[in-house]
Amino acid sequence: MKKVIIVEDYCIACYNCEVACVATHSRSEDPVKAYKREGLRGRTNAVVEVESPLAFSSMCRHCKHPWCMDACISGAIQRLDNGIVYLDEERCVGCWGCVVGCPYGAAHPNLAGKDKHAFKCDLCIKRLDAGLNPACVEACPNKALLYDETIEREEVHT
Amino acid sequence: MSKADYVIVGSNVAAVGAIDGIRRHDKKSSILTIAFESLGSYSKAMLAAYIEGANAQWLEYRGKDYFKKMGVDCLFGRRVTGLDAGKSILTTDNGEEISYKKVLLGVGGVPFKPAIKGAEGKELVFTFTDLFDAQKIRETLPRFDSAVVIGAGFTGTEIAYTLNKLNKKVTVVELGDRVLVKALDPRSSEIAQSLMQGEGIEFYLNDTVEEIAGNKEITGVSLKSGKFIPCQAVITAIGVIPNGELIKNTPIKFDRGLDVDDYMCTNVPNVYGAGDVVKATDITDGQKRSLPLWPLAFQQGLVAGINMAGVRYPYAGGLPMNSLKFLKVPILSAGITTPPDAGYEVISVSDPKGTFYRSLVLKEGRLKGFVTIGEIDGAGVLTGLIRSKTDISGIKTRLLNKKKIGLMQMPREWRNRIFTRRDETDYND
Repeated sequence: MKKVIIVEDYCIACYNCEVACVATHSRSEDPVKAYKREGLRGRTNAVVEVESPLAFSSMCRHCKHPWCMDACISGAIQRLDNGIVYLDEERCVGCWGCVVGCPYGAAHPNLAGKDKHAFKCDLCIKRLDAGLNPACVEACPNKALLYDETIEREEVHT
Repeated sequence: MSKADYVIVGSNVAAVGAIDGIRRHDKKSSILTIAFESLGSYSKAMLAAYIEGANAQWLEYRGKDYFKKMGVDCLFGRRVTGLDAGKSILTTDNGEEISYKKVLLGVGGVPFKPAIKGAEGKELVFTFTDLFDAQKIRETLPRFDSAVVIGAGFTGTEIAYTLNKLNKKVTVVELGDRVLVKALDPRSSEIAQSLMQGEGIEFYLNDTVEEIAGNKEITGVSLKSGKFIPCQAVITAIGVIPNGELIKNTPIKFDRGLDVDDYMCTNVPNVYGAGDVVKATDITDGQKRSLPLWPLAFQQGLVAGINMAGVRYPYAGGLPMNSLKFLKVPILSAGITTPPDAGYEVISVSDPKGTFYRSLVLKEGRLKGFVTIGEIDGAGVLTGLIRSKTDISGIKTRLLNKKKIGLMQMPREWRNRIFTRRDETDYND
């Protein structure tokens, strides 16, 4: 399955991936409006970490068997037929099971505001359907994020 | 007599896990799931939302189309009343007989009900474990303004919190000396208790209800300490115990929980178990015990299903995880939060306002458990470190940092493996 591959040696900590992620998941799909009007600051699924000189951006690994899904009490997280681990924010009840379950810290709690739900990378499913790459990959100026095939282990269950 | 290759008794999270597991390796054989709940698959962890007024459909864990999509026949609203393990035949409450090749018992747990004087014959005495309980509580909400909750564990505090939110006067009585003793350490118990007290819930610790007073209508409860608390409803939430009803008079081993091996199989080769009914391995100490927790039920179901389909795959054991989802300040915990002996090291950090607290429990440099309050983003990284038994001696103080727990402190090799992901998550990852 194709996923976002992270190349930490190339990351220049420009945060373009974060902005692109927030924008593409906003109503307006406009970065300025998303931050200023839609209150989506911090709602990025791709999170940049910097400890100079090292930097990288990381997001959901779309596990074949997702720990977040095990812990999801509402059924909001399901693995789609195309392998994308999808969190339906409408169904999410904010139990934070995925937050405590994901070993990569890739399911985030939306604690601000009254809208209590978790959020995570959906691999830009809408963009993929339109034949585009995930927004973070598209926005990365240095190929520190690539959308490419990963080799899956043969027999993995849990 | 009808028959099916696989019969799943129960339709909740362990059953869904098992169906997923079977269908990974066997797309053809027939599966029949039998459950007494007519709703089919619903989330018991969301019952509080139902009491608050949510539609029952909101509790659906997997939609009705899930069973169809997985090619599973459903018999909902029927209770399995008999099990003949020798002949591999189940009997339902309308006398129908169903033969199976393999069966999964996902019959869950039942609330532990202590014998309390005066509890008999009173209408407003409840438990809070399934939809029937929740329906009863919801229907009778207009009939009481005050309630006593017995037990300050997860279920007890959740129903207390919910009723308090619905403007009932709620008092919690707990035999132990602190709340949420299984999930939290003493300091975080204190924080959780004060958060709930701040909402108006009263607590009586080191005490127990001796008698429920009143005739048909409850007038109050008297405590061991001699105190009398006036109330109109009582909810017992002491815990759930594995449901052994169906196993009675069968050769299947059951001792305070269904005995299963590493492959989730009972002592009868074609009978499997998963979820709250079984005793499962706790990976923090390797002991087998009843661990009625959501993610574990799913994982056990999945492993059971895989093995039922003929692929040998062992269950690596479960890690207890808790999320106190109802509190205004989020509290997450996993593994051992209170060290049982002096062989453990505990490091913690908190801010004076009590809005942030984190404690890590280590043994020989390895993380065994944690509690984090207030700052929870990335807490799963800690869970992953417990599972992988990584030596965290060099990074432990960094893990107490208030900001999001990221992947920066992890070893570069670990990170690069994850980032390029040639393999996938595994229990032993």
